[in-house]
Amino acid sequence: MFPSALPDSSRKKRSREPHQLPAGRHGLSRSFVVENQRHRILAAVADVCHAAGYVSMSVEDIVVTSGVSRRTFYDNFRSKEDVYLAAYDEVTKQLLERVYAAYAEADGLVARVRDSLNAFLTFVAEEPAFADMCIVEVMAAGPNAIERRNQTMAAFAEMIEKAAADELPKSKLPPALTAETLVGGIYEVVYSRVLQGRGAELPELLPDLLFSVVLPYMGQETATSLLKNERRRSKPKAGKQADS
Amino acid sequence: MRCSSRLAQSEKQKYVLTVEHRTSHNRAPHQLPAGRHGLPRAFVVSNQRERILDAVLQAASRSGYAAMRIEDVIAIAGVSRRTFYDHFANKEEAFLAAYELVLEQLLTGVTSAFASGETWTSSVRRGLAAFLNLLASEPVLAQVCVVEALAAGPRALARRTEAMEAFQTLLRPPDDDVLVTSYAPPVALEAIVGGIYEVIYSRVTSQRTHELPTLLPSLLHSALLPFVGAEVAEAEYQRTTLSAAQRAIPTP
Repeated sequence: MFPSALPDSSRKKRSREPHQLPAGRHGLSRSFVVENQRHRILAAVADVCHAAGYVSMSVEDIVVTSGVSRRTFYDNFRSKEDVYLAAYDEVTKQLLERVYAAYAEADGLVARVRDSLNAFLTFVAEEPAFADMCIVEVMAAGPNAIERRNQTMAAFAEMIEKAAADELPKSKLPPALTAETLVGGIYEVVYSRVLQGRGAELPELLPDLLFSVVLPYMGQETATSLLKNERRRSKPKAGKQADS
Repeated sequence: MRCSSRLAQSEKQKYVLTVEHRTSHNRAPHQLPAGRHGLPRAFVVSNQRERILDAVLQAASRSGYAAMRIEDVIAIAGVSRRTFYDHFANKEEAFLAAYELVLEQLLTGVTSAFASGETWTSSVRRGLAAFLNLLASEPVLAQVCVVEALAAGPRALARRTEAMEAFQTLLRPPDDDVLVTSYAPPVALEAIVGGIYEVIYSRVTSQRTHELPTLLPSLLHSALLPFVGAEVAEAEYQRTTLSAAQRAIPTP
């Protein structure tokens, strides 16, 4: 996500990490250097945020963790809040790309909800530091961060609404606030697991969350049978591979 | 905007700070005279503690928990720094105590409204209505409970989780309720409470706390649907929308 591997320099002075650029003149293009440094700073934000939380995170922590100089940090970012928002935007962009991709591949409301929810839960499970930063710490990172978060949630709600509108006649749609309420509910379920460090368990909740989302649009019967099928699907049978 | 506390109404009036009434010692009317004043210590202490808690609510809702300073709290409360630290070890302790106070108020209001319903569905409707109305009528309480508690550290978060679980209990129907026709997994219930919370959160953080009562029909629908089925949930939605219209409350 934040690629940092660089050709190993033979000039290893001052116990520099392999990804750190050699000090002084190194003949690498300026834009490459700047990109590399920016990526390292953003990666460090996730690590420090995960370890210390937003409130106690300092620019000093980020500088030390990323291995850039303080000068370089301030060339790129104005403040702790500024760098946090940049990191948040970067991670959210990746997350939305994954979710949209799954959504676009799928046909029909049920498949679209299932596959995008699965992409979301898998991302959170695979990236605990990013999850912590974007789902938990965001709530303590000030009004600009909260505004970003609200926008991300609105984007997810729109996806559900579009999928529903594509499939169902207007008369069959639930109240207008439903999608927003569902996204909020998923958020809270995910938040509580990430807060407890149990993000890895989230993909197991796919059947139950799928039930919750599908219910207002497709009704009790469809939602319940989906719940059962999805639960069966995720249970590995003895001696067989689990279905994907 | 003041937040209610457990004090009698007449006591609350004393807490309105009016600059023009300050004495030569720059003391507001509710502030106790400095030094020996012959009042029982217990009264003085309880009065001070209440004022500090009230001030914490004001300060936290105005500036946010992170930016809230003890200077702000003691200025609003009209107590000395020393007095603050007599009662609370630090900012977090004071916030937790204030949060506890307003959470209790909220939960009491909701559970008593809930208990007044004759069926589970009407209990949910009354409880949810009370919840939304209380938040809308007490913006300081709303800001503290809904927004600031999430930014006040792990103990506040833990307390919040407990409160959410208490709400979940109310939103789970008794097994023998006649209208309850279907099963919903526990995570679905968690998602309902979470979803209601998030919708409220978005209104409070965008200065639309006053709109909360208009959300009742839709939030009620979400809460009932998994248990009573689409027809009953829809009927409750329509009925609640209709009665709101009758009371001339706009619905979205």
